[in-house]
Amino acid sequence: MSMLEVRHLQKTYTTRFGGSKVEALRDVNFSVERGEYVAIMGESGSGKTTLLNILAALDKPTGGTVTLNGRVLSTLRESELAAFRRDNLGFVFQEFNLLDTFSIEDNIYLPLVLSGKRYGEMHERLLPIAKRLRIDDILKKYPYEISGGQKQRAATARALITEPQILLADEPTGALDSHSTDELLSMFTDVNETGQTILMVTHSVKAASRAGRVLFIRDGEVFHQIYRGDSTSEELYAKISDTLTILAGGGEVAE
Amino acid sequence: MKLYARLAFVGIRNNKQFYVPFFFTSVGMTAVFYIMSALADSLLLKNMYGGRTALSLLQFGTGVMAVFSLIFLYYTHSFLTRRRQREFGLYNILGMEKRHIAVIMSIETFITYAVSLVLGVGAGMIFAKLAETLMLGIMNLSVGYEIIVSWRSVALASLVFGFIFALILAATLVRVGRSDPLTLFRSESKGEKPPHANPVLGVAGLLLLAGAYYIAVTVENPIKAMFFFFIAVLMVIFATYFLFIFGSVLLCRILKRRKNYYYKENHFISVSSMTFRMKRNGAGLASICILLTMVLVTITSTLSLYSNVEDMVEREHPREVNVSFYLNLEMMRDDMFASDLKNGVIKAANKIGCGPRNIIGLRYLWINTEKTERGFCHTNFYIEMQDTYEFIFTSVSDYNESYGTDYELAPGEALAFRINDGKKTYGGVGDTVYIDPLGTYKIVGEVEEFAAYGYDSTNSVTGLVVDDIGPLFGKVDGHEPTLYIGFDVAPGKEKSFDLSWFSFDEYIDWTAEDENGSLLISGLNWSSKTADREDYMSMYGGLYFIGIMLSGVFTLAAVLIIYYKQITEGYEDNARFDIMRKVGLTKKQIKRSVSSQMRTVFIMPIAMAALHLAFAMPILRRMLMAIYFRNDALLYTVAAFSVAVCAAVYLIVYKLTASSYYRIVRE
Repeated sequence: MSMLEVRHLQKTYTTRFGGSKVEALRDVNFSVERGEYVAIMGESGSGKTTLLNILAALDKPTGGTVTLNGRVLSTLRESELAAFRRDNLGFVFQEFNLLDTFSIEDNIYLPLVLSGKRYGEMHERLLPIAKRLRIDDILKKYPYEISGGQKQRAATARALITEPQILLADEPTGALDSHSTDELLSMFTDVNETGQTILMVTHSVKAASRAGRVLFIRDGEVFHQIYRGDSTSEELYAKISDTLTILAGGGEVAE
Repeated sequence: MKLYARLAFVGIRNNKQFYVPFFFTSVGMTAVFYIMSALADSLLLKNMYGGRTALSLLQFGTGVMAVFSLIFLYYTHSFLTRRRQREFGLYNILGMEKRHIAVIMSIETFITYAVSLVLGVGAGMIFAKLAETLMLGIMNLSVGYEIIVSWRSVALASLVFGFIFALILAATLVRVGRSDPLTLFRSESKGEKPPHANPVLGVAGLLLLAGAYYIAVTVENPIKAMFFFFIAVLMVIFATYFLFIFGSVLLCRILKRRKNYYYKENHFISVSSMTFRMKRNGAGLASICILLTMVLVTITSTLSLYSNVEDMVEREHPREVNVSFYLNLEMMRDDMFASDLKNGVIKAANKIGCGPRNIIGLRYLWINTEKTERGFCHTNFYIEMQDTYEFIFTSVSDYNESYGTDYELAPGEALAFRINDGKKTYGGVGDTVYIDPLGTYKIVGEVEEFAAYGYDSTNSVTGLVVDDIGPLFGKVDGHEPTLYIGFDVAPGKEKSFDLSWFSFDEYIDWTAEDENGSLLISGLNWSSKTADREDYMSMYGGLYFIGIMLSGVFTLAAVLIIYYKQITEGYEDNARFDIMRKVGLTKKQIKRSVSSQMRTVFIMPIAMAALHLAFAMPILRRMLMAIYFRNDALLYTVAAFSVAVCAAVYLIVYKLTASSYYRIVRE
């Protein structure tokens, strides 16, 4: 069985006064295997963010199910959800979302502190991750003192320190310059090679081309997907570009 | 122009979370200002006996209100504009020039001014009657029925508040004018440095506070107390600011270093955000603390004084009418002369028809001493200090005649009365008291009454009835021998006795001289219990009334500072809690962390204020003693009562603020 199963996922927003309905997700189906690196692409308004929010259990679907390791998300109670998120999911956001009142180190500890871990254990966990993400020298600094790339690596460390089932990344390179983007993406690849499952929502062809599989969403449905297979990142980049061109043209993709 | 007006209205409406409390404040301040000014202006007080004291107090209160309104409205309004810089930035980016924004702001300010003035004066007119009733009730005077409309006060209010709002507007315009659109737009989301605690200042705060408390607790001398009180107040103010700003940051840093404490779910978030919060809010919280302390001290002292009036009047006036003659030494020894004077006074009273009764006539010998090894020794070095002891002598013949008793005393025997029971001068009946140079007296008994008119002091005062004080005169110098005559009057005749030299002209020869050409009667002093009671009521009642009004306004101010702080923080925390929620914080945890922080922020100032008051009590007691306040139990009761009332008001505001804070954070 797959690690993450998404079946017939539906999300309809009703406007405030009960007037028109907006279908953000119509019928989304896909699954993710353990250790996979999946990118989800789509234009603005295609439902990417809605999908991610539902996967993150931040939002509830109006139909369909999300199953993670055999547990159906919608059956979790509100009180269980936060703990579930903390223990199973790691998040990386476009806006970093580091807390400005905490040092980098404390930002990374946050989810562990919330789970009630001892300081000694947290500290042990932090060191290898900080080394791997090359932030071990800025742990004592505050978010406003470091660069965007460093912030995003710190946010990644925060996401990884709980050893999550899935790392969910929402446009992780959206606010980074090209150098920092490259750096972050190679770290994602490294992390994935150690067996970490990653699900990334992105606009960026470059980012998507580093993934093992790319899903395309259009009008609230999974419209197409590309497996990397044996292709290099450059070849995958070309394939993604072609697909996007067709998507933009509104045509069908023949596989 | 129409567009600007609409934008101004929209601006007020969209920021109602900030504008509504601001309106409340400015309306409240205007109303209080009007009430005080109108009461000071009303003819009622001017024509009232003893009304003058209250009148000048009210005028003083009006001035204080004007200054305080200026400071406080200016301060709160700066919260408003800071919140709105983003909006101005947006307008600016959309192509609106700064002068257009200036027009909008002017309209907004004018609307605020007009609303505050109309509602404030309106509320003032309604409540002025209530306030007047309250004040006259406090001052124990009867109330008229006319509603107070003082156009002079309306004009004054519109001028004063017009000036205040003009100043506020000017400050806002300068703020808008100085900034460029991008900084306006971004001004809310600036990165923040972690605060650096200055341990020296933190420790300095602690030391200052300890010093101030030490002074307050140890100062014994009531006169010195007044001076030291101001020193202590200054020290406490600085200490409070230092402790709130630096001390709390220091504390947070120490807590952070204790990793096993810090990295716990409930400590982690609150300690780290408190560090930042205290740096920014330390000053605000310290101000709140100081305002609350002021309220507590004001209410405690004015209410104590007011409640003490009856006690004080009774203590100072043995009888309804009290007359003191300062006599030539020879005349002091002359029993006939004394009884002639007494008869003269009574005849004068009878002539008016006030029916004198309970007549007392006592000749006093007063001596101020300090303690020596053998007993007490006369000193002319008179300071109201705890280590001086006063004795008042009178003859047993005068005493028996005044009180209808039939004591008989041998030379060297005395009957004692503890007038002011400070440090004891004798242990009990049977003891002997040696007073240099008057001799040794054996206390053979204690009397139940002893009118010591004019000798009320904060020292230990003992009355002694001896066989004859005649020979004692001349043995000590530095005081005026006094003949006191006091009597009560028939009910309803209290104020009929118009006391002056002239009242006695018919019966007393003021010009009589002895062979050396010095006057037999060198001076006269008189008082009426009822008139003095009215005077005290007017003064202490007026003080208490103004104490209540100002305390109300100060409390309002303190409460509003907190409200604005919490709301502003709510908006900042909104984003923070959103992140935490994404990272896996439950709503329950958020709520718990929020309320623990709120509680701390709320409790700290009032707890500190109560502590300040507790330590201020000893010195307050000494200062009140200097104005003949001796009722300790009353003082402590009143203090506890003020803290309770203040805390209750505070709790209500806490609940209100907490609920609007949650609403913002939850959005």
